[in-house]
Amino acid sequence: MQPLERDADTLRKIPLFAGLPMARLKLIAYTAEVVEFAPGETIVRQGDPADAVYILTEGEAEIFIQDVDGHEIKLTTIGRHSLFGETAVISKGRRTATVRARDRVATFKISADVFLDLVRQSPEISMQIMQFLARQVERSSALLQQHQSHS
Amino acid sequence: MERNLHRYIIKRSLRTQLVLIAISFVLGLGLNPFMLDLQKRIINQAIGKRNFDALLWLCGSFLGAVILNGALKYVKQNLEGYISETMLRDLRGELYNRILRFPLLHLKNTSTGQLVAMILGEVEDLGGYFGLALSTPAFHGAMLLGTLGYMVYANPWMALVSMVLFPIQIVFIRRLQRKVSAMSRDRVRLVRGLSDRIQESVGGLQEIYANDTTAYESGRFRHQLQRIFRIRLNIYNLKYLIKWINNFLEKFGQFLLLLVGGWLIINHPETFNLGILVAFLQAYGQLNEPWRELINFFQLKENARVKYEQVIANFDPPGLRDEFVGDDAAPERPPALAGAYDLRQASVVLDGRTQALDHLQLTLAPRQHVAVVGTAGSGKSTLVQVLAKLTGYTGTVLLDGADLAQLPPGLAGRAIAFVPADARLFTGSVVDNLLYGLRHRRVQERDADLGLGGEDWLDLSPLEVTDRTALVAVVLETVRLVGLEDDLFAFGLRSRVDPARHPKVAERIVTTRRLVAARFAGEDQETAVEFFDRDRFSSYASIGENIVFGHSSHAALALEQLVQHPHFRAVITAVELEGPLVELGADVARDMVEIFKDIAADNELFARFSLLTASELPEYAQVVARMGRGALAELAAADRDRLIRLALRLIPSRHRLGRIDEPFITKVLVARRQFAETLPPDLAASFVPYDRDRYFADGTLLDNLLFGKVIATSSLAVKKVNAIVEEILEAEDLRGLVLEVGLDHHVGLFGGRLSLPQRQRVALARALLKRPDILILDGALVPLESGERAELHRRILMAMKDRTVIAAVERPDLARLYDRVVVLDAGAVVETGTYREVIAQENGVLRRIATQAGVQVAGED
Repeated sequence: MQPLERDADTLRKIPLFAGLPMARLKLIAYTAEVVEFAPGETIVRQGDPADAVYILTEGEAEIFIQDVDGHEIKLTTIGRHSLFGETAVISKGRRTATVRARDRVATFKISADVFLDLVRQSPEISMQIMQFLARQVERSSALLQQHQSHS
Repeated sequence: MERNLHRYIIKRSLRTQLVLIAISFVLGLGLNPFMLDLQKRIINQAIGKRNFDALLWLCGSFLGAVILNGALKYVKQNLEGYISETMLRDLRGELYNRILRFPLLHLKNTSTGQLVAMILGEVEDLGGYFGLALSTPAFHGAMLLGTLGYMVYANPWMALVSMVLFPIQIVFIRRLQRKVSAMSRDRVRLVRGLSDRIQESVGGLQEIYANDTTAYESGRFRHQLQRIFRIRLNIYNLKYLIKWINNFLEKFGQFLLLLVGGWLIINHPETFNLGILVAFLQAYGQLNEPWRELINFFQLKENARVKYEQVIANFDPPGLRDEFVGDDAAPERPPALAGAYDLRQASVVLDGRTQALDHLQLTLAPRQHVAVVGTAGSGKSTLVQVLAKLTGYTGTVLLDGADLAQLPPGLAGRAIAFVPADARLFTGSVVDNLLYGLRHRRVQERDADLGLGGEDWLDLSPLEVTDRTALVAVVLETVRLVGLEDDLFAFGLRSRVDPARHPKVAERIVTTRRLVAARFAGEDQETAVEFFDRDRFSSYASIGENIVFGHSSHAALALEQLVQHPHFRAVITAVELEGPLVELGADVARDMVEIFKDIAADNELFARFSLLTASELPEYAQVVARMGRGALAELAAADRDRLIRLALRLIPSRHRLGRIDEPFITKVLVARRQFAETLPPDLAASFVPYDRDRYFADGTLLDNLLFGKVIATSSLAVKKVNAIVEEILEAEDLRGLVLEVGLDHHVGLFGGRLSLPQRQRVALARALLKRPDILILDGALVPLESGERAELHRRILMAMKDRTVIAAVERPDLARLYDRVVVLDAGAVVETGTYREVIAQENGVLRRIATQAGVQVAGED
């Protein structure tokens, strides 16, 4: 199998891309850049402009957010075939969290405009992203309700 | 400028025009009736009387007249062309010079698109008219008079018949033509609007996308096109109606002549004969031509007059700056200005309404560092622009006791430096822009070649340097001061240097290459560099580069042309690489066509990622379709060439396409050796194989230092490569060399290839390199990171010690660094003194602004 087909196959394992036709997967794989990170290296930094979406293909990474005092709070750990950075790319805003490599990490870096182009052209992906974001809103409102009932 | 078109023409070209008029009279009044008369004589005296000798004589004279006529016309047309072109050249130059004198405020209401359209387009039409302005009426008028005169002389009654239709023509046609003129004027206005729209759309494309108004803008544009279309169509209809009427009247005239002339010949043969009739018909034909030309000319004249007046009006705004001194007449720089400003009742009104400065009073001591503070709209920008002599004002402004308005032209720009918040750069290299402030006058002679270009306009006297080494040192010192050094270093590393022009640079880089290699060999971790190695396949270079493995300035050896080159073909056939290349190309073509077939041709993805251009895609899609039908070996030679061309573009590690296996790589390496060893002598001279001991011109300085390519997959490793390279260059004392190369980095149109902070730093360095007596900053450091601003202010003030600095600052705490603070509110000075004095004032404006900006105001600092 040639490298591009292998990469396209890897992409198919990511839920967001599962339903895409092969030509699209190949396009993503083809335009993606393979970027590797050493343990402890920062992949994206909170507050930076969002220029790309990342897919972890090897290794694990940790997600942190900074509170108002500048303290880092670890949110979660993500592993192979996770996609991150898409929210800031869609909102054309800045990174909402910092992602750091836990061990040796390999990623596909999909540039923001390729990703947005993709979202624009494939309804399946748009739908998936909407569902994902809707779930997040639900979760935040639930948290807010909890918070209000406590105080 | 002369507002009347014809006075302008006479002023600029009277002598040539007089020659033209003289030629026109000779042609129209002399030769023309003479030739008509000859025709009559040939028929009546020679043919009619069967006199062969007379026939020969008369025909000979006719031929001579024809030749003389042609020669004079040739001279006349060339003269017209000469007048047109010289006047067009001068007019364009004058209009451009006018732009260079526009008051800055006027630019807000001026459209660049219209200025461009006027100088390039509308003036072009005027150019054509300049040559014809006097000669056409003179020539055709003379032709008309000559012919008429002849007709009256031959037969007054018939002449009257010929002219009977003229009054009708005059009334009718003139009326129609006036209508056409009016429509033409509308058309010009609409077309100008069109160029505005294009310009605004290009500039505001981001807004158009962001507001999703593409359909709206497109519709608006089409609406305007439609209006122009209607007008044009109407003009078209009318023009041909005029033509039709003209033609009809002409033929009708002939009809009258034949009828009346025929009747005369039949009934009164004693008054009229065939010779006269033929001459009359001929004359009548000739009468019509100048007549029509004259009518057309008046049309042309009217259009040209309107156009000229419209153009000139646009180039004569109120408050035009003084005329500047041309070429080399600029005066020597006078003694230094101290910067003691004294403003009395100074006022500036913007757009005829907004009072930006309101009878402002201010006195500044010489050689002080002054910060101007105020809220937005307080007039601080306007004030510093007045001080820099960039904006007109009313009231009095004195500089060192002399009236600022009377400062000799050219002096302000040399002694006063001004940096706004959005400084513009110009197309060219970094160093071109850095030295832009020293191009005031032409320098007669220079001993040393500075290697800069445009040196005859470079006045280095303020820098007190004469040779390149000293100049570069001074420039780099300023670059360091404004914090541009690291950027310049990065530019340098990514620049290409021509080893033929800079043999020393190439030599030193090649020597250092060994140190770099040794250093990387000592690193035990994997490196992010793929070194060039004659015996190894490079997966970060294209297949074509892998085979050629060297650089040639010969166009036939460029990668895209390679497939057609006989030597290359011979090599890949000999090592049996042709088949594998076709197969690789077929794989790549299949993937490219599959991936990109649904992508719109104008999508940026094509330019950024595709191995095929959008226009090549259909061609390759057909090749892929043909491939499906049989073996690759059966493909036509042209198709196989296409596939090989594509395969040669492939960079395996970057594109991750195709199957590159060991046997393939081995063949590429064999081909590489053969290609170099059997290169024909005519190509060998220009071919430099990649060699550890030689500089290669197609690589950047960094590529050459590494003798390899940086692999961009690991960002840490890339940083490490940069650190190692920088360290070695530092140790080898080569940093300066790289910086010098970086000076030649091209900044792009308007400096677009630099970031905003980089542009601003270049502008600051440009101002400082002018060695100004007075430096004026108008929020110049705003685009920089806030943490860097205070430090840079400090460094600038240090460099400008004992000279005047006046800075409109955006943050009140920056004013602390200055000797004195001037606080503006609503266009007037409300507080002034040292920062401590002013900030201590309870309920003061500065205190309020500082508190709002979150600046600590209480206590000592």
